[in-house]
Amino acid sequence: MNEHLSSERIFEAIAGRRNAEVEKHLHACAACNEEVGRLRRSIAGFSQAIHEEAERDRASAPRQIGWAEQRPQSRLRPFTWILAAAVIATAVALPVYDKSQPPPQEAIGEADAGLLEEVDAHLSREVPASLESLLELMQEDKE
Amino acid sequence: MEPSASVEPIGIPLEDVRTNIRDFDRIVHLYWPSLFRYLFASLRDRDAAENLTQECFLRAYQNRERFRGEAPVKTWLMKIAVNLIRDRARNRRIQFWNRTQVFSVDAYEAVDRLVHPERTPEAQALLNEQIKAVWGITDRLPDRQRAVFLLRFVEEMDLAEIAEVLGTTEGTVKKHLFRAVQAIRNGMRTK
Repeated sequence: MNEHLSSERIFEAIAGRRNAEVEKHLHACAACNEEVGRLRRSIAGFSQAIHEEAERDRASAPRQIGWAEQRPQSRLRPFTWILAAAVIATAVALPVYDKSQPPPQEAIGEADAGLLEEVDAHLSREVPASLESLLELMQEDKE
Repeated sequence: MEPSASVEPIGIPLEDVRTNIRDFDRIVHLYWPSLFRYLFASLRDRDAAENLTQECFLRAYQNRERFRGEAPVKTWLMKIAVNLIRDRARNRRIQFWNRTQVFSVDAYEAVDRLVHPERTPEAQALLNEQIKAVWGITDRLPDRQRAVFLLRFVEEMDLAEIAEVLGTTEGTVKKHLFRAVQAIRNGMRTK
């Protein structure tokens, strides 16, 4: 066998209808037969893996029956329950936390002092914080 | 023939598809596997494929009045699935996670569960590696090539049906399929 199958012929062998001439060549040419065979087996195996996974999904998903009727409710319910659970947990946890850990007076004093410093710094700004870097550049230019 | 009087090959009158929720439930039952296959092959993630399959049917149900019956139900659903995949691919957060993911556990498991009783364990392992390689190469194909490849080889749709799903011509579908097969060939040579 002098010539191997062209890319177009191999494409036809993989994706098209079986062609008698191509099949005859495959019987006679070990290299082409090996390549086409490997591609056919791999692509068929790829498809088989996905089909089997879909069958597994179908078998393990009885919820699909009656889906259309259940769909609007099933979307809302989990969120409603999560929200309700979060509200209850917060309501229970907050008073307990409040009683068990009274904030120390020193920490409150430090926080208040820090806040006052931030307010002072904010009031003494010449421009809004977002423009400060621009102001610095302008001052550098002047210098 | 009037659109409302035409009947799908599966035996569901199109009028019922548009108006009757119980028949829509049958549509879900019949086409769930096809959509799940396409979405699982595209996403390699079982949970994401399930969620998007549900999303697909929800969109179809919400838009059922606009279904004119000019194409088969499967083609209409596949169009929705292709659009959902395209929209998802545009999501930047998902793009980030996809880049970090070399090959998903779900896809590995699906291939490793395959049994080829006629093969020796060594030959089976080799074939499974080749199948994983096909999946990996498919994942790196441009969107259109991947869609064409999956619709042809997983769903076994013919070129005309694929053209209808993707809203293009048979000639364009054939070009995309040729390039996809070439990419698989080239990728497999290095394995």
